[in-house]
Amino acid sequence: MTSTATLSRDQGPGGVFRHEALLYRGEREFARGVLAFVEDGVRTAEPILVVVSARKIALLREALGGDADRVEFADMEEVGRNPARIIPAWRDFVQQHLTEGRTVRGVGEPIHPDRTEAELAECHHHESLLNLAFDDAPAWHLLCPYDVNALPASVIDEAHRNHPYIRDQDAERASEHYVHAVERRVPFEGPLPPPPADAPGVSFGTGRLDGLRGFVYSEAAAARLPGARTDDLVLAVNEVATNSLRYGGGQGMLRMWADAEGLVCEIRDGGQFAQPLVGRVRPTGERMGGRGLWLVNQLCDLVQIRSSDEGTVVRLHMWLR
Amino acid sequence: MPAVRSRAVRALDRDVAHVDSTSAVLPGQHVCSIVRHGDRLADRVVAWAREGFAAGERVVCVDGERDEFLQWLADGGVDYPSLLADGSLVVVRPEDAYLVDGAFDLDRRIALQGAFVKQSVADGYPAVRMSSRAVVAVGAFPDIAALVEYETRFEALCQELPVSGLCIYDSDAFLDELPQLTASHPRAVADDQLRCWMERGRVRLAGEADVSNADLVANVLAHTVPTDGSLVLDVGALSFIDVAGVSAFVSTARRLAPAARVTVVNPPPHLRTILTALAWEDEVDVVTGTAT
Repeated sequence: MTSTATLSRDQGPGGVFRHEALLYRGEREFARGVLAFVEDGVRTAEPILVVVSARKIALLREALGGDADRVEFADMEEVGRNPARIIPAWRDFVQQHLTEGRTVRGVGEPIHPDRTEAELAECHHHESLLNLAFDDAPAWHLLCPYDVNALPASVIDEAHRNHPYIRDQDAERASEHYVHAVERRVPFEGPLPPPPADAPGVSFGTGRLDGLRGFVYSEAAAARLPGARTDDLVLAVNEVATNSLRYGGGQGMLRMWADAEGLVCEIRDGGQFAQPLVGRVRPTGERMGGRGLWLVNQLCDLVQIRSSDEGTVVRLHMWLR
Repeated sequence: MPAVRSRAVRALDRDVAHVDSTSAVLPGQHVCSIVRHGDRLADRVVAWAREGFAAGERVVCVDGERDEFLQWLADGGVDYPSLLADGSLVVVRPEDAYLVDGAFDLDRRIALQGAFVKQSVADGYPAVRMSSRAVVAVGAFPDIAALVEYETRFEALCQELPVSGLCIYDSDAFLDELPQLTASHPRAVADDQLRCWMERGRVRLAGEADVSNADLVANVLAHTVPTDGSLVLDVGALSFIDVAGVSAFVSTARRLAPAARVTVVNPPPHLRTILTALAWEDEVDVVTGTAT
C-alpha cells in the first residue's frame, strides 16, 4: 500500500509531525477515510484520539465495533468551540502518550459548514499554527477531515495551504500550495469586518482599568448577556487591556457591539505581538508573564488577534446563542 | 428583565464598594493611602473626615493648603466653620505638626502627638484621626528617611492610643520610596480601588485588585509575617481580582518558607477560575465560607 510506504518513510523514529487533510464527499466517504486511518493505528497499537462532532463519534463507534474501546473520542463542539483551545488539547494528548519508539495518531475536524466567517478565519489559523506548534515535536500523525460537498471551495483552498499533505479517496500526496505559518504571518494577518459606525467605545490609560470594566459591565447588561458570561467577558477584556498597559504603549481603545452571534469587544493599542502561539501554550506555573491571553482563550468563544508594526487589534467574541 | 436589573443593581453595589473600600479607616488604623494621577483625592479626604465627624472623633488635617482643604469640605456639604469653632476640626500647617520650635526632633514630636491624643480623650473625644498629604508634609522633614522614621513611630502610637492616620502619598512623587513607606504602615494600605488591612491576624482585601495595585498587594504581603506558618488572606470583600492580582498571592507564596502556605478565604468566583486555568492550584490554598 502506498499510504503505508509513505507513512513509514515520514513517521518512523526520527520522523516529523505529519499534518494531513482528508478531503471527503459525504458521510460515507468520511467514515471510510477515517476508519482506514484509525484501524491502521489500532493494528499497530498506537494511541488514537478522535475529535469530531458527537454525531460523527457515534458513527465511528458503531463502525469500529469492539475496536472503539481502543480509541479515545472527544467532542469537537466542546474542545474546539474556541479553536485556540485545540492545539493545547493535542499537545496534552501527544505528551501523555508519546514514548520512545511509539507514535500517536489524531483525527481532528474543527471546520464544519455551521462555522461563522470569523470562526472559519480562526479555524484556518489554527490549522496553520499546528504546523508551527509541532515543528519540533516527535513524530505523530494528525488527519483533518474536510467535507468537500458541504464546504465552500475557498475553505478547501485554505486546507491546501495549511496542510503539507492532502489525502482523498484515491491517494495521498504533498500539497503543492502548502505555506508555513510563519510565512503567512498567522494568526496576525487577515481582514476583519469594520465595527459598526455607532459602536460605543471608551479609551483607557493612566494605569487604571476600573472605568473600562464598568463600561463592559453596563454594555453587557444592556445586551442581556447572562451574569456569569458577563463576569468572564469583563475579566477577558481586563486581561487584554492589561497587556495594552504593559506592552501596548500604556493605553488603548475599547469598542463593543452586538453581531448576529453575540457580543464583540475590540481592544486596540500600539503594541505588537511577536509569538504566533500566544495564548495557545498551557502555563506551567513557573513563568509569571504571558498568561493573560491563555486565560482569555479559556473564557471567550472566539479570539481574533491582528497585529503588525502599526498596532494590535484583539477581538473577543461571546456568543449569545 | 430580571437579569438586566440585577446587573444594574450590581453596578450600583460596585460603586458603593468603591467608595467604602478607600475611605473607611478603622479605629487605630494608620493607612498608607496611595494617590495616582487621575484619582479623586478630594472625595477620599472628605469621606474620611465625614466618618470622623459622624463618630464624634476629633479630626486633624495637616495641610499646607488650608483653603483648598476647607473648600473640599464645603463642597462635600460639611459645615466646617462650626466644627472649627468647637475644636472638633483642626487644620495645622506641616511645620507646626512635625517640628518642635522649628526643628526636627522625633522623640519630642511623638511625645507631643501622644499628649494631644490624651488631651483630646480627656476632652471627651473617643478618638483622634489625623490626615496628611506627604507631598506637602515632606517639606517639613529633613529628608525622606526622617519621614519614614516618623511614620514608623506614628504607627506605634496608633497601636498604643486611640488615634488613626490617613497618610496620603502621591505615587509619582514617592515612586522609589513606596516599598519602605508601605512597610511603615504595616497594617493598612489603600489606593482608589483597593484597601488592604490587618484584622485579627488576617490580611483583608476590599475593592478591586488588578494591574494598577498588584505591586502594592505584593508589597504589603512581603511585610506581613505569617502566623503559625500560614498567611491568611480574607478576600471576601473583593469585588474583582484578575491575573495580576492573583499573581501577587502566588509570588508571595513562593517567597514563604517551604512549609508555610498562603491561604485565601472567601474567594470571589473568578479566583478559582484563574488559579485553575493558570496551573496555580497547588501554590495557594483556597477556603470557601469561613467566618472572619
